[in-house]
Amino acid sequence: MTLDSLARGQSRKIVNISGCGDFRQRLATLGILRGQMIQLSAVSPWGNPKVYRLGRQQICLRNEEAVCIQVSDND
Amino acid sequence: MTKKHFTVALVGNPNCGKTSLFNLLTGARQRTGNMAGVTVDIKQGTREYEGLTLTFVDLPGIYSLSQNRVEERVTRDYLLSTPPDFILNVLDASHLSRHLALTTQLLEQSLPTLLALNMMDEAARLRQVPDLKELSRQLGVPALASDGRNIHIIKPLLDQLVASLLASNQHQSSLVSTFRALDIVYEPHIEQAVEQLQLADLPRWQAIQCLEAQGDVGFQLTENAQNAMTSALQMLADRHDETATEMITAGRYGYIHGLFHEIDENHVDISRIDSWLDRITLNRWLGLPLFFVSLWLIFEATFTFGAYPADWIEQGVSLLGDGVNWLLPESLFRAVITDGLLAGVGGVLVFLPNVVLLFFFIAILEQSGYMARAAFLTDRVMSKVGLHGKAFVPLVMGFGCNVPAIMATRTIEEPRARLITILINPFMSCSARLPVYVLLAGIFFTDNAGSALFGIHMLGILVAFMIAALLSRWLPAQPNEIFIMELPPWRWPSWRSLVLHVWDKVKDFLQKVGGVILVGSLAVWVLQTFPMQAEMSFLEQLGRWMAPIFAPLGFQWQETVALLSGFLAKEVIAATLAMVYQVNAEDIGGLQLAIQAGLAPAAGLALMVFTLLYMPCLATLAVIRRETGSWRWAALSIFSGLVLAWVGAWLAFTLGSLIL
Repeated sequence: MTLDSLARGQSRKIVNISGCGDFRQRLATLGILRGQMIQLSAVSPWGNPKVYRLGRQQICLRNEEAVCIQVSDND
Repeated sequence: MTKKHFTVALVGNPNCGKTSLFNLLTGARQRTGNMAGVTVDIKQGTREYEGLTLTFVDLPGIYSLSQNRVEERVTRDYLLSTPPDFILNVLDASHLSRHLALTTQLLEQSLPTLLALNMMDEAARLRQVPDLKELSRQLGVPALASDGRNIHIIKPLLDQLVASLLASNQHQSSLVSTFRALDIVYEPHIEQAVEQLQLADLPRWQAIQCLEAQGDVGFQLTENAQNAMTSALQMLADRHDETATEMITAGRYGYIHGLFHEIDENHVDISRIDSWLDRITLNRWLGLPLFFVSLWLIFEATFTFGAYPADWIEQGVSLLGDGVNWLLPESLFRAVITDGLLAGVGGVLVFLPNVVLLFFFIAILEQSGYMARAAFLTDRVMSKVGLHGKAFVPLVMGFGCNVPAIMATRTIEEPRARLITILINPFMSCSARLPVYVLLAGIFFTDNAGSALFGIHMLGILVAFMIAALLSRWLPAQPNEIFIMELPPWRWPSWRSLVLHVWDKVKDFLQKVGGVILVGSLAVWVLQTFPMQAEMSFLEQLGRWMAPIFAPLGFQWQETVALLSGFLAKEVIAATLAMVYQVNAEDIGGLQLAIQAGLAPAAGLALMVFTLLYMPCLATLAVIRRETGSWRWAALSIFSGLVLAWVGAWLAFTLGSLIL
C-alpha cells in the first residue's frame, strides 16, 4: 500500500520510494529512506496535506507526493 | 607575518539555531524563528577576540551540500568560491544523526571544521546527551556544546575556535594539512563508481558529490569527468532501483549509527507535552478555529494592553507641549513645534505600544514553532490559489513590514508562485498601518476595537488570496515545486531573544518617527500653515481639489490629504490626521472627538479599508521593482491597489451606512 492510505496512528515500514529524482533526493537528505518506520500523526482539515512521524522527526507531505512512498501492508 | 583576520562560516541544517548563535557571537540582531528558511541570504558580522578579528558569516540552513535548491546553492557556492578559514558546523544535539549527515559531507571535503552542538538541554531532557569527547575523537575534529541563548557557553567555543584557527593557519603555511578527509566506505557499486571517477582525476569528495547530486555540482567538470560520471550513473541505475543519492545517504547514516550505536534515536518518542500540544493544534477540526481564535486574541490584547502605555506617552507629549507653550512666546517657531512636531510625531508615537505588542505576540508564535503548524493547516487553501507552501513565512512576515517579507520570497523557486507571493504581500497589513486602525477603531468601534483590528487584518488576507487566485488563473502555470516541510519541535521562546526582537522593532519604529514621519509631518505643517491670512491653506486647497474622487467614500478633504501623505510611509496617515484635526483640539482625546464629529462611522470604516488596500509605500514599491526586475509589476501593484481600495472603501461605506 502507499503512504497516503495510512490511517491515523498507524505505523508502517517504508519498502520503496519511487517518483522523480528531485523528490527522492529531498527525502533522502531529510533522512527518509527505505526500512524506516513511518506513522501518520495528523491530518489537515481537507485531508491533504498530512503530517508523518519518523522517530522524533515530523514532516508534512502532500498526498500527491505521499503516493510515491510504498509502505508494508502489515506491521 | 601572522594572520590576524579570519573568516568563519556558520553551516548547519535549517532551524538548528545558526542565526541565534551568530547574533550572540557578533552582537548582531538578525531575525530568528523556530522554522526553516528564516535566513535566505549571507550575512556577516565581526568580533574582536584575543587580538584577532573574526568575521562570522551566517549562511542559509541546508540539509546537504549536494542539492540544488536556492538556499543550498547559496551556501555551496559560497564555500567553493570564497573558502572561509574555518567552518563552525552548528548541530542540533537532539536530532544528532540527521544533522551529522551534513557534517560527514563537510569532513569528506576535508574542510577545517569545528562542531558546535546546540540544544543540549533538549537532548538532556530526552536522556540522550551525546558524548562530545567520543564524537570529537571519532570524527577527528573538536566538538563543543553551544547555545545561542546563553552567553557563558560562548567563551570556551571561541577559545577552541581561536586555537584551531591558529593551529590550522600554522600548518597551512608549513604545507601540512591537519585535516585528514573523512573516509566513509559505501556500498560496493558506489565505491566502484567513485573509483571510475577518481580515474578521471576527480578527488574522492568530488566524485562522491557528483554521484550524490546526480551531476548537479558547484565545481567545474572536465569533459573526461563528465563522461565518466554519466557512465557511472548509468551503471548504478542498471544495477539498483535506489538512486545514487539514496544509497550514499544510507551509507552516511550507516556510518553515523556506527559512531554511537548505543543511542538509537528512532526509539525515543516525542515527549508527552509535545504530542499533547500537537494533538490539539493539529487537530483536524479544532486546529483551524484555534488558529483564528489565537489571532483574534492577539489583536484584542494588542489593542487593550496597548492603551495603558499609550496614555502615558500621550500625557508626556501634552506635558511637553505645555512646556513649550510656557517657555516660548507665540510665534511661527512655536507653532512648528506644537502643531507640527508634537501633533504629528506625537500623534504616531502614542501607537508605539500597540506595534510593540503585536510584534511580541507574533515573535512568540514564531519561536514556539506554532507558525509551521499554521502553515500546515492552511496549506490546502494556499495551494488552491496557486501559492506554494513556502509562501506562508513571507506572508506572515508581511504583518511586520512588507519589505523584508518580499525579500524572503527568494526561497520560493517556482517563478510564478514567487511572483504571486510578492504581488499579494502588500495586502498583508503591515505594522505601519496599525496606528490608523487603532486610532479609528478606538473612535468608531470603542466596544470591540480588538475585533475590528482582527477583522481588518482578515480582510487583507482575504483580498490577498482573491488576487492570488486571479493571478494564478492569468499567469501561465509552471510545474509545481515539491512541498516537504519539517515540523519543528515545540520550543519555549527565550526571553532574551524575545526582548531583543521587540527592542529592535522599537528602534526601527523610533528611527522612522525621527525620519520619514518627522519630515512628512513638517511638510504637512508647512502646507497647512501657508499661505497665512488666506482663506484656505495649500493643504486644504489640495484636499478640496481631490476630494470629489473620495466623496463617494464619505471622506472629506482631511482624509484625502492624509491618504495622499501615506504614500511616503503609512504611519504618516495617522500623523496627518492628527495634525489636520488637532488644529483646535488640546490633546489626543480632543482629536478623537474632532474626528468623531467630522466623520460618519461608515466613513471611518471605509478609511480603514482604504488604508489597508491602497498602494504600497515607496520602500515596498522599490523592493517589488528590484525583486521582480521590472517596473511593470510595481506599476500594476499601485494600480490594482488603488482600484481595489476605492471599490472596497465604497462597499464598506455603502454597506456600513446601512448598518452603523
